[in-house]
Amino acid sequence: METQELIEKIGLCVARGKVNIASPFPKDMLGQEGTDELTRRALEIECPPDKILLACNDGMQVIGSKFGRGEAFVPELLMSAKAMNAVMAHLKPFFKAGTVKTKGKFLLGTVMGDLHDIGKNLVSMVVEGNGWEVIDLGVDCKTQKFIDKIKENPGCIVGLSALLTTTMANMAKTVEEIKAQFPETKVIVGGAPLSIGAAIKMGADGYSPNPQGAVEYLNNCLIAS
Amino acid sequence: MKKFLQENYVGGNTFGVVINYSDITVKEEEIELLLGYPPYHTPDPFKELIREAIEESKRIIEIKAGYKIADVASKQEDLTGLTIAEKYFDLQKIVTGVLKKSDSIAVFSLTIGDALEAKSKELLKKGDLVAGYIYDAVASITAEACADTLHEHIKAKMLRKNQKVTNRYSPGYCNWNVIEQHILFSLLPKNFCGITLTDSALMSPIKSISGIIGIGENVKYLEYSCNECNIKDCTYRTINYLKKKTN
Repeated sequence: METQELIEKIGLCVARGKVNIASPFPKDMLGQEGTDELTRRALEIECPPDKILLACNDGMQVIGSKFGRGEAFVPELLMSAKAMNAVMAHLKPFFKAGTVKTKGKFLLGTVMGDLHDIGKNLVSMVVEGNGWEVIDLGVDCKTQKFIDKIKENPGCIVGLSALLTTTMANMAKTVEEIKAQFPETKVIVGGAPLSIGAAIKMGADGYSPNPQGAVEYLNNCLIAS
Repeated sequence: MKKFLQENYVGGNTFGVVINYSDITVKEEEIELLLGYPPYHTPDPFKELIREAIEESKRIIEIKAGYKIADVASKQEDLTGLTIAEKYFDLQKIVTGVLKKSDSIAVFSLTIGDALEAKSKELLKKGDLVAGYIYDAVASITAEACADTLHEHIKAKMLRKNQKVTNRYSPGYCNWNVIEQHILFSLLPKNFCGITLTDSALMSPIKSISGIIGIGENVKYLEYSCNECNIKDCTYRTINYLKKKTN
Protein backbone atom coordinates (compact mmCIF):
# COMPACT_ATOMS: atom_id res chain seq x y z
CA MET A 1 0.00 0.00 0.00
CA GLU A 2 1.33 3.44 -0.93
CA THR A 3 2.00 5.98 1.80
CA GLN A 4 -0.92 8.21 0.84
CA GLU A 5 -3.26 5.26 0.51
CA LEU A 6 -2.21 4.01 3.94
CA ILE A 7 -2.81 7.41 5.52
CA GLU A 8 -6.23 7.68 3.89
CA LYS A 9 -7.09 4.17 5.11
CA ILE A 10 -6.18 5.17 8.68
CA GLY A 11 -8.52 8.18 8.40
CA LEU A 12 -11.27 5.94 7.06
CA CYS A 13 -10.77 3.46 9.92
CA VAL A 14 -11.10 6.33 12.41
CA ALA A 15 -14.31 7.50 10.74
CA ARG A 16 -15.71 3.95 10.72
CA GLY A 17 -14.41 3.02 14.19
CA LYS A 18 -12.25 0.13 13.01
CA VAL A 19 -9.71 -0.40 15.80
CA ASN A 20 -7.84 -3.56 14.82
CA ILE A 21 -8.13 -6.74 12.80
CA ALA A 22 -9.84 -8.59 15.66
CA SER A 23 -12.49 -5.92 16.16
CA PRO A 24 -15.98 -7.10 15.10
CA PHE A 25 -17.01 -3.51 14.29
CA PRO A 26 -17.98 -2.38 11.71
CA LYS A 27 -19.44 -5.55 10.27
CA ASP A 28 -18.51 -4.77 6.65
CA MET A 29 -14.83 -4.41 7.65
CA LEU A 30 -14.65 -7.74 9.47
CA GLY A 31 -11.17 -9.28 9.20
CA GLN A 32 -9.62 -6.09 7.85
CA GLU A 33 -6.78 -4.22 9.50
CA GLY A 34 -7.71 -1.31 11.73
CA THR A 35 -5.99 1.83 12.92
CA ASP A 36 -3.70 -0.17 15.21
CA GLU A 37 -2.06 -2.27 12.48
CA LEU A 38 -2.22 0.41 9.79
CA THR A 39 -0.57 3.08 11.95
CA ARG A 40 2.19 0.67 12.94
CA ARG A 41 2.82 -0.08 9.26
CA ALA A 42 2.63 3.57 8.29
CA LEU A 43 5.25 4.53 10.83
CA GLU A 44 7.47 1.62 9.76
CA ILE A 45 7.62 3.06 6.25
CA GLU A 46 8.18 6.52 7.78
CA CYS A 47 4.88 8.17 7.00
CA PRO A 48 4.96 11.64 8.53
CA PRO A 49 3.12 11.43 11.88
CA ASP A 50 1.58 14.88 11.39
CA LYS A 51 -0.07 13.66 8.19
CA ILE A 52 -1.41 10.59 9.98
CA LEU A 53 -2.82 12.86 12.68
CA LEU A 54 -4.41 15.14 10.10
CA ALA A 55 -6.14 12.19 8.42
CA CYS A 56 -7.38 11.01 11.80
CA ASN A 57 -8.78 14.45 12.59
CA ASP A 58 -10.61 14.36 9.26
CA GLY A 59 -11.96 10.92 10.20
CA MET A 60 -13.20 12.24 13.54
CA GLN A 61 -14.82 15.15 11.69
CA VAL A 62 -16.70 12.69 9.48
CA ILE A 63 -18.13 10.73 12.41
CA GLY A 64 -18.78 13.96 14.33
CA SER A 65 -20.81 15.36 11.45
CA LYS A 66 -22.77 12.12 11.13
CA PHE A 67 -23.50 12.27 14.86
CA GLY A 68 -24.65 15.88 14.47
CA ARG A 69 -27.02 14.87 11.66
CA GLY A 70 -28.44 11.98 13.71
CA GLU A 71 -26.93 9.38 11.35
CA ALA A 72 -24.57 7.99 13.98
CA PHE A 73 -24.96 7.52 17.72
CA VAL A 74 -22.81 7.49 20.84
CA PRO A 75 -21.60 3.86 20.37
CA GLU A 76 -20.25 4.69 16.88
CA LEU A 77 -18.67 7.88 18.23
CA LEU A 78 -16.98 5.85 20.95
CA MET A 79 -15.70 3.27 18.46
CA SER A 80 -14.15 6.08 16.43
CA ALA A 81 -12.62 7.52 19.59
CA LYS A 82 -11.21 4.10 20.40
CA ALA A 83 -9.79 3.75 16.88
CA MET A 84 -8.26 7.21 17.24
CA ASN A 85 -6.81 6.31 20.64
CA ALA A 86 -5.09 3.32 19.02
CA VAL A 87 -3.41 5.75 16.62
CA MET A 88 -2.46 8.06 19.48
CA ALA A 89 -0.79 5.19 21.32
CA HIS A 90 1.55 4.71 18.33
CA LEU A 91 2.13 8.46 18.02
CA LYS A 92 2.98 8.91 21.72
CA PRO A 93 6.76 9.07 21.15
CA PHE A 94 6.23 11.81 18.55
CA PHE A 95 4.09 13.82 20.97
CA LYS A 96 6.82 13.44 23.61
CA ALA A 97 9.49 14.53 21.15
CA GLY A 98 7.34 17.48 20.05
CA THR A 99 7.21 16.30 16.40
CA VAL A 100 3.43 16.43 16.63
CA LYS A 101 1.32 18.40 19.05
CA THR A 102 -2.05 17.97 20.68
CA LYS A 103 -4.63 20.67 20.05
CA GLY A 104 -4.42 21.79 23.66
CA LYS A 105 -5.19 20.73 27.20
CA PHE A 106 -8.67 19.97 28.46
CA LEU A 107 -9.07 19.78 32.22
CA LEU A 108 -12.10 17.71 33.10
CA GLY A 109 -13.85 16.68 36.31
CA THR A 110 -17.15 15.96 38.04
CA VAL A 111 -17.86 18.65 40.60
CA MET A 112 -17.83 18.35 44.38
CA GLY A 113 -20.51 16.12 45.89
CA ASP A 114 -21.14 14.24 42.66
CA LEU A 115 -19.87 10.74 42.03
CA HIS A 116 -21.29 10.21 38.54
CA ASP A 117 -18.58 9.59 36.01
CA ILE A 118 -19.95 7.79 32.96
CA GLY A 119 -20.78 11.02 31.12
CA LYS A 120 -17.48 12.59 32.06
CA ASN A 121 -15.58 9.49 30.96
CA LEU A 122 -17.30 9.44 27.58
CA VAL A 123 -16.50 13.12 27.05
CA SER A 124 -12.90 12.45 28.10
CA MET A 125 -12.45 9.65 25.58
CA VAL A 126 -14.11 11.40 22.66
CA VAL A 127 -12.23 14.67 23.31
CA GLU A 128 -8.94 12.77 23.57
CA GLY A 129 -9.82 10.96 20.37
CA ASN A 130 -10.16 14.36 18.73
CA GLY A 131 -6.55 15.24 19.43
CA TRP A 132 -6.74 17.00 22.77
CA GLU A 133 -4.73 16.16 25.84
CA VAL A 134 -7.25 15.38 28.56
CA ILE A 135 -6.37 15.81 32.22
CA ASP A 136 -9.12 13.90 34.02
CA LEU A 137 -9.46 14.99 37.64
CA GLY A 138 -12.05 12.31 38.45
CA VAL A 139 -15.22 12.73 40.49
CA ASP A 140 -16.14 14.76 43.59
CA CYS A 141 -13.61 17.48 42.70
CA LYS A 142 -13.39 20.42 45.04
CA THR A 143 -13.01 23.86 43.45
CA GLN A 144 -9.46 24.13 44.75
CA LYS A 145 -8.49 21.02 42.78
CA PHE A 146 -9.54 22.76 39.55
CA ILE A 147 -7.79 25.98 40.58
CA ASP A 148 -4.53 24.16 41.36
CA LYS A 149 -4.59 22.28 38.06
CA ILE A 150 -5.38 25.42 36.04
CA LYS A 151 -2.30 27.02 37.62
CA GLU A 152 -0.23 24.02 36.56
CA ASN A 153 -1.68 24.04 33.03
CA PRO A 154 -1.94 27.61 31.79
CA GLY A 155 -4.10 28.01 28.70
CA CYS A 156 -6.13 24.90 29.38
CA ILE A 157 -9.89 24.76 28.81
CA VAL A 158 -11.97 23.45 31.70
CA GLY A 159 -14.90 21.04 31.53
CA LEU A 160 -17.22 20.51 34.51
CA SER A 161 -19.74 17.71 34.86
CA ALA A 162 -22.71 17.36 37.26
CA LEU A 163 -25.67 15.01 37.32
CA LEU A 164 -27.72 16.38 40.17
CA THR A 165 -29.42 19.72 40.71
CA THR A 166 -27.76 19.85 44.14
CA THR A 167 -24.30 19.48 42.67
CA MET A 168 -25.19 21.92 39.91
CA ALA A 169 -25.08 24.52 42.68
CA ASN A 170 -21.53 23.40 43.49
CA MET A 171 -20.75 23.64 39.79
CA ALA A 172 -21.91 27.27 39.75
CA LYS A 173 -19.61 28.07 42.68
CA THR A 174 -16.68 26.38 40.93
CA VAL A 175 -17.34 28.32 37.72
CA GLU A 176 -17.53 31.56 39.71
CA GLU A 177 -14.23 30.88 41.47
CA ILE A 178 -12.44 29.86 38.28
CA LYS A 179 -13.68 32.99 36.54
CA ALA A 180 -12.68 35.16 39.51
CA GLN A 181 -9.12 33.82 39.52
CA PHE A 182 -8.67 33.07 35.81
CA PRO A 183 -11.06 35.30 33.82
CA GLU A 184 -9.49 34.21 30.52
CA THR A 185 -9.97 30.51 31.15
CA LYS A 186 -12.81 29.04 29.11
CA VAL A 187 -15.22 26.82 31.01
CA ILE A 188 -17.68 24.40 29.42
CA VAL A 189 -20.31 22.56 31.48
CA GLY A 190 -22.48 19.52 30.91
CA GLY A 191 -24.66 16.93 32.64
CA ALA A 192 -28.29 15.88 32.93
CA PRO A 193 -29.70 18.84 34.91
CA LEU A 194 -27.86 21.43 32.79
CA SER A 195 -29.22 23.53 29.97
CA ILE A 196 -27.82 26.35 27.92
CA GLY A 197 -29.77 28.77 30.14
CA ALA A 198 -28.32 27.29 33.34
CA ALA A 199 -24.83 27.41 31.85
CA ILE A 200 -25.16 31.09 30.95
CA LYS A 201 -26.63 31.89 34.36
CA MET A 202 -23.67 30.38 36.17
CA GLY A 203 -21.21 32.26 33.96
CA ALA A 204 -19.88 29.31 31.95
CA ASP A 205 -18.63 29.98 28.42
CA GLY A 206 -20.09 26.86 26.88
CA TYR A 207 -22.54 24.02 27.36
CA SER A 208 -22.85 20.67 25.68
CA PRO A 209 -25.42 17.91 26.13
CA ASN A 210 -23.09 15.31 24.55
CA PRO A 211 -19.40 14.49 23.92
CA GLN A 212 -19.45 15.71 20.32
CA GLY A 213 -20.76 19.10 21.39
CA ALA A 214 -17.79 19.41 23.75
CA VAL A 215 -15.41 18.61 20.88
CA GLU A 216 -17.04 21.22 18.68
CA TYR A 217 -16.81 23.82 21.43
CA LEU A 218 -13.12 23.06 21.99
CA ASN A 219 -12.32 23.15 18.28
CA ASN A 220 -14.17 26.47 17.96
CA CYS A 221 -12.04 27.85 20.80
CA LEU A 222 -8.98 26.96 18.74
CA ILE A 223 -10.34 28.80 15.70
CA ALA A 224 -11.19 31.84 17.83
CA SER A 225 -7.78 31.98 19.52
CA MET B 1 -48.85 -9.41 36.75
CA LYS B 2 -48.52 -13.21 37.00
CA LYS B 3 -48.12 -13.50 40.76
CA PHE B 4 -48.06 -11.48 43.93
CA LEU B 5 -44.60 -10.74 45.15
CA GLN B 6 -43.49 -11.84 48.58
CA GLU B 7 -43.50 -9.10 51.21
CA ASN B 8 -41.66 -8.91 54.50
CA TYR B 9 -43.15 -6.58 57.09
CA VAL B 10 -40.37 -4.67 58.80
CA GLY B 11 -42.54 -2.59 61.16
CA GLY B 12 -43.87 0.96 61.01
CA ASN B 13 -46.12 0.27 58.01
CA THR B 14 -43.00 -0.58 56.04
CA PHE B 15 -42.58 -3.61 53.78
CA GLY B 16 -39.63 -5.18 52.05
CA VAL B 17 -40.61 -6.66 48.69
CA VAL B 18 -38.81 -9.63 47.19
CA ILE B 19 -38.21 -8.99 43.51
CA ASN B 20 -36.39 -11.62 41.48
CA TYR B 21 -35.04 -11.07 38.00
CA SER B 22 -37.87 -13.20 36.63
CA ASP B 23 -40.34 -10.66 38.03
CA ILE B 24 -39.03 -7.79 35.91
CA THR B 25 -39.19 -7.09 32.19
CA VAL B 26 -36.09 -5.55 30.66
CA LYS B 27 -36.85 -4.62 27.08
CA GLU B 28 -33.95 -4.61 24.63
CA GLU B 29 -35.80 -1.99 22.60
CA GLU B 30 -35.75 0.45 25.52
CA ILE B 31 -31.99 0.01 25.82
CA GLU B 32 -31.59 0.52 22.07
CA LEU B 33 -33.63 3.72 22.28
CA LEU B 34 -31.61 4.94 25.26
CA LEU B 35 -28.44 4.42 23.20
CA GLY B 36 -30.05 6.47 20.42
CA TYR B 37 -31.10 3.73 17.98
CA PRO B 38 -34.59 3.09 16.68
CA PRO B 39 -35.81 -0.29 18.05
CA TYR B 40 -34.37 -3.29 16.19
CA HIS B 41 -31.91 -1.07 14.30
CA THR B 42 -28.88 -1.35 16.57
CA PRO B 43 -25.93 -2.50 14.46
CA ASP B 44 -23.78 -5.49 15.25
CA PRO B 45 -21.91 -6.04 17.51
CA PHE B 46 -23.72 -3.57 19.79
CA LYS B 47 -26.89 -5.64 19.74
CA GLU B 48 -24.88 -8.66 20.94
CA LEU B 49 -23.28 -6.48 23.62
CA ILE B 50 -26.74 -5.44 24.86
CA ARG B 51 -27.76 -9.10 25.12
CA GLU B 52 -24.49 -9.99 26.81
CA ALA B 53 -24.97 -7.19 29.35
CA ILE B 54 -28.55 -8.29 30.02
CA GLU B 55 -27.38 -11.88 30.58
CA GLU B 56 -24.60 -10.67 32.89
CA SER B 57 -27.05 -8.46 34.78
CA LYS B 58 -29.25 -11.50 35.51
CA ARG B 59 -26.25 -13.06 37.21
CA ILE B 60 -24.86 -10.13 39.17
CA ILE B 61 -27.58 -7.66 40.13
CA GLU B 62 -29.00 -7.74 43.65
CA ILE B 63 -32.47 -6.27 43.71
CA LYS B 64 -33.67 -4.84 47.00
CA ALA B 65 -36.97 -3.01 47.18
CA GLY B 66 -39.55 -1.84 49.66
CA TYR B 67 -42.05 0.79 50.60
CA LYS B 68 -43.83 2.43 53.48
CA ILE B 69 -47.48 3.40 53.56
CA ALA B 70 -47.59 6.89 55.01
CA ASP B 71 -50.39 9.26 55.95
CA VAL B 72 -50.94 12.30 53.81
CA ALA B 73 -52.28 15.57 55.12
CA SER B 74 -55.85 16.61 54.30
CA LYS B 75 -56.49 17.36 50.67
CA GLN B 76 -55.34 20.89 50.55
CA GLU B 77 -56.18 23.49 47.95
CA ASP B 78 -52.58 24.58 48.21
CA LEU B 79 -50.77 22.93 45.32
CA THR B 80 -47.27 24.01 46.32
CA GLY B 81 -46.59 21.06 48.57
CA LEU B 82 -47.75 18.00 50.38
CA THR B 83 -47.35 16.78 53.96
CA ILE B 84 -46.50 13.12 54.11
CA ALA B 85 -46.13 11.49 57.55
CA GLU B 86 -45.88 14.99 59.03
CA LYS B 87 -42.98 15.94 56.76
CA TYR B 88 -43.57 18.74 54.33
CA PHE B 89 -42.46 18.30 50.73
CA ASP B 90 -42.10 21.31 48.49
CA LEU B 91 -43.65 20.09 45.24
CA GLN B 92 -44.89 21.58 42.02
CA LYS B 93 -48.43 21.49 40.69
CA ILE B 94 -47.43 18.80 38.22
CA VAL B 95 -47.00 16.43 41.20
CA THR B 96 -49.48 17.77 43.75
CA GLY B 97 -52.17 18.01 41.08
CA VAL B 98 -51.99 14.23 40.71
CA LEU B 99 -51.43 13.37 44.38
CA LYS B 100 -53.91 15.73 46.02
CA LYS B 101 -56.73 13.19 46.12
CA SER B 102 -54.54 10.53 47.74
CA ASP B 103 -55.70 8.93 50.97
CA SER B 104 -52.17 7.69 51.67
CA ILE B 105 -48.78 7.65 50.03
CA ALA B 106 -46.40 4.78 49.28
CA VAL B 107 -42.85 6.01 49.89
CA PHE B 108 -40.55 3.59 48.11
CA SER B 109 -36.93 2.88 47.38
CA LEU B 110 -35.15 0.18 45.42
CA THR B 111 -31.74 -0.69 44.10
CA ILE B 112 -30.13 -3.17 41.74
CA GLY B 113 -26.89 -2.99 43.74
CA ASP B 114 -23.55 -1.77 42.49
CA ALA B 115 -22.21 -4.82 40.60
CA LEU B 116 -23.44 -3.74 37.14
CA GLU B 117 -22.15 -0.23 37.63
CA ALA B 118 -18.79 -1.64 38.77
CA LYS B 119 -18.67 -3.83 35.66
CA SER B 120 -19.35 -0.76 33.48
CA LYS B 121 -16.54 1.15 35.17
CA GLU B 122 -14.16 -1.79 34.82
CA LEU B 123 -14.87 -1.99 31.07
CA LEU B 124 -14.39 1.75 30.60
CA LYS B 125 -11.12 1.58 32.53
CA LYS B 126 -9.93 -1.21 30.23
CA GLY B 127 -10.70 1.03 27.25
CA ASP B 128 -13.77 -0.93 26.21
CA LEU B 129 -15.80 2.23 25.83
CA VAL B 130 -18.88 0.93 24.08
CA ALA B 131 -19.30 -2.07 26.36
CA GLY B 132 -18.95 0.19 29.43
CA TYR B 133 -21.55 2.57 28.02
CA ILE B 134 -23.93 -0.27 27.15
CA TYR B 135 -23.60 -1.87 30.60
CA ASP B 136 -24.48 1.50 32.15
CA ALA B 137 -27.55 1.84 29.91
CA VAL B 138 -28.64 -1.72 30.77
CA ALA B 139 -28.26 -0.90 34.47
CA SER B 140 -30.44 2.23 34.12
CA ILE B 141 -33.19 0.39 32.26
CA THR B 142 -33.00 -2.56 34.69
CA ALA B 143 -33.47 -0.26 37.70
CA GLU B 144 -36.44 1.34 35.95
CA ALA B 145 -37.89 -2.13 35.21
CA CYS B 146 -37.63 -2.93 38.94
CA ALA B 147 -39.48 0.29 39.74
CA ASP B 148 -42.21 -0.75 37.27
CA THR B 149 -42.54 -4.11 39.01
CA LEU B 150 -42.68 -2.55 42.48
CA HIS B 151 -45.25 -0.04 41.21
CA GLU B 152 -47.36 -2.87 39.76
CA HIS B 153 -47.05 -4.80 43.02
CA ILE B 154 -48.30 -1.85 45.08
CA LYS B 155 -51.07 -1.29 42.54
CA ALA B 156 -52.20 -4.94 42.77
CA LYS B 157 -52.08 -4.89 46.56
CA MET B 158 -54.14 -1.71 46.76
CA LEU B 159 -56.63 -2.97 44.23
CA ARG B 160 -57.57 -5.71 46.71
CA LYS B 161 -58.61 -2.87 49.02
CA ASN B 162 -60.51 -1.18 46.21
CA GLN B 163 -57.90 1.55 46.00
CA LYS B 164 -56.03 2.85 43.00
CA VAL B 165 -52.53 4.27 42.57
CA THR B 166 -51.08 7.30 40.80
CA ASN B 167 -47.93 7.66 38.75
CA ARG B 168 -44.70 7.56 40.70
CA TYR B 169 -42.62 10.67 41.32
CA SER B 170 -39.00 10.96 42.38
CA PRO B 171 -36.92 13.79 43.85
CA GLY B 172 -34.89 15.40 41.10
CA TYR B 173 -37.69 15.08 38.53
CA CYS B 174 -40.84 17.09 37.75
CA ASN B 175 -39.23 20.16 39.33
CA TRP B 176 -38.99 18.37 42.68
CA ASN B 177 -35.71 19.47 44.24
CA VAL B 178 -33.44 16.46 44.66
CA ILE B 179 -32.29 17.73 48.07
CA GLU B 180 -35.70 16.60 49.40
CA GLN B 181 -34.40 13.09 48.93
CA HIS B 182 -33.17 13.57 52.51
CA ILE B 183 -36.72 14.16 53.78
CA LEU B 184 -37.99 11.19 51.81
CA PHE B 185 -35.28 8.92 53.24
CA SER B 186 -36.05 10.17 56.76
CA LEU B 187 -39.45 8.49 56.39
CA LEU B 188 -37.87 5.10 55.72
CA PRO B 189 -35.85 2.92 58.09
CA LYS B 190 -32.13 3.72 58.16
CA ASN B 191 -30.24 2.07 55.26
CA PHE B 192 -33.53 0.73 53.90
CA CYS B 193 -32.75 -1.56 50.94
CA GLY B 194 -29.07 -0.92 51.66
CA ILE B 195 -29.26 2.54 50.09
CA THR B 196 -27.40 5.47 51.61
CA LEU B 197 -27.46 9.15 50.70
CA THR B 198 -24.60 11.56 50.31
CA ASP B 199 -24.93 15.18 51.52
CA SER B 200 -25.71 16.16 47.93
CA ALA B 201 -28.61 13.65 47.91
CA LEU B 202 -26.90 11.15 45.65
CA MET B 203 -28.01 7.58 46.30
CA SER B 204 -25.47 4.83 46.72
CA PRO B 205 -25.57 2.42 44.92
CA ILE B 206 -26.11 4.90 42.08
CA LYS B 207 -28.51 2.61 40.22
CA SER B 208 -31.26 3.11 42.80
CA ILE B 209 -34.66 4.76 42.56
CA SER B 210 -36.76 6.33 45.27
CA GLY B 211 -40.05 8.16 45.17
CA ILE B 212 -43.69 8.40 46.11
CA ILE B 213 -46.92 6.94 44.75
CA GLY B 214 -50.37 8.27 45.67
CA ILE B 215 -53.00 5.77 46.87
CA GLY B 216 -56.74 6.34 47.13
CA GLU B 217 -60.20 5.61 45.83
CA ASN B 218 -60.31 8.75 43.75
CA VAL B 219 -56.78 8.99 42.36
CA LYS B 220 -55.91 8.56 38.69
CA TYR B 221 -52.96 7.17 36.80
CA LEU B 222 -51.99 9.48 33.94
CA GLU B 223 -50.74 7.68 30.86
CA TYR B 224 -48.21 10.37 29.96
CA SER B 225 -47.68 13.40 32.15
CA CYS B 226 -44.39 14.77 30.80
CA ASN B 227 -46.20 17.14 28.45
CA GLU B 228 -47.21 19.14 31.54
CA CYS B 229 -43.59 19.83 32.39
CA ASN B 230 -41.35 22.49 30.90
CA ILE B 231 -38.08 20.58 31.40
CA LYS B 232 -37.41 19.04 28.02
CA ASP B 233 -33.96 17.53 28.60
CA CYS B 234 -34.86 15.12 31.41
CA THR B 235 -33.93 11.47 31.95
CA TYR B 236 -37.40 10.61 33.24
CA ARG B 237 -38.99 12.17 30.16
CA THR B 238 -36.62 10.10 28.01
CA ILE B 239 -37.50 6.90 29.86
CA ASN B 240 -41.22 7.66 29.68
CA TYR B 241 -40.84 8.31 25.97
CA LEU B 242 -38.99 5.01 25.53
CA LYS B 243 -41.76 3.13 27.34
CA LYS B 244 -44.42 4.80 25.26
CA LYS B 245 -42.54 3.89 22.07
CA THR B 246 -42.00 0.27 23.04
CA ASN B 247 -45.45 -0.51 24.44
